[in-house]
Amino acid sequence: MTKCILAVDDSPSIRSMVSFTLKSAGYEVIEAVDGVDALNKAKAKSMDLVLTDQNMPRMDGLALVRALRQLPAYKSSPILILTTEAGTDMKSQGKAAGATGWLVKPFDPHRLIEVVQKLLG
Amino acid sequence: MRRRALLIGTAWTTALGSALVWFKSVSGLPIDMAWPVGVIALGWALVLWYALAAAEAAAEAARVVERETRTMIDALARVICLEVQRARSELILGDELLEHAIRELMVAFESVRDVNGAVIAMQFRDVVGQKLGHVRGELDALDQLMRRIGESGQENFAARVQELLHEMGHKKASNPAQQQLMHAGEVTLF
Repeated sequence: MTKCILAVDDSPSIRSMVSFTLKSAGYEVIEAVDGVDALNKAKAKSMDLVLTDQNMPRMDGLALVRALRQLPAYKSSPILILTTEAGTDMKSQGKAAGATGWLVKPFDPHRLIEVVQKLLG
Repeated sequence: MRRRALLIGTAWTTALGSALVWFKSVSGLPIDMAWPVGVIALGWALVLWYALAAAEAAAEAARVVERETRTMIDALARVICLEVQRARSELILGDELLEHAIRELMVAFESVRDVNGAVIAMQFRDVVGQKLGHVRGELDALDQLMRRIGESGQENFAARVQELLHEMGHKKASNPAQQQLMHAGEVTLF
């Protein structure tokens, strides 16, 4: 069964590149424009992995991670934060919020596919 | 201040003179004019001392105001310089990122199959966009600060400026693109 990934970013170009990369590896990709949109979509359909930006309007990445971890279906699902921020303080906040991993933009498509394949088995 | 001193001196002299005239007319006694002149002189000496003391106090107050104004202007100038320097650094880094992106794109275009490289290079545009957005936000905040200072009334001006500077310090948003090129593509699994 094709795994489904939720790609969350307020930048249309980043969403396109993430979607293009993951679809080329055989995944189904659903896009969301911010944390609120992502949360609604995550509740409507079960996602195998969530890949989210940090800095977004309405609801940022960390808030989305915390909200998803409150949902029974996403208690242990892989959630990756893909962001421009590389500071250790932010990474610690990501870990504390319940994120599975932290990727710094610009992402390497090969590396992204490797990480996703590792997490989804 | 001088007018007040003059008024006091004149009032003192007039009062004393009138008192003497009245005393002489009532008592009929001759009065040695030496001591009244001495008293008047003492009065004027007191008035002069008062005027000098008041002038010194006014000068000191003016010096304090000038010092505080200068301190406040220095603080404002420091904040403005710092913000402009930060903005300049961000723009320089943005330039470097764009240059790097263009180099990567050129390498990618040399080999049509290097879609990987092209995807990486195109993301730099997003990073630079965030940096420029952050710089614009900082400059907007600075502009707002200057306008609010300009709108402040004369009353408690120094305190108001300090308050606004403090408020600006608290409101400063974190830079969304705090990264050097060496962190690009980093993956950390928790």
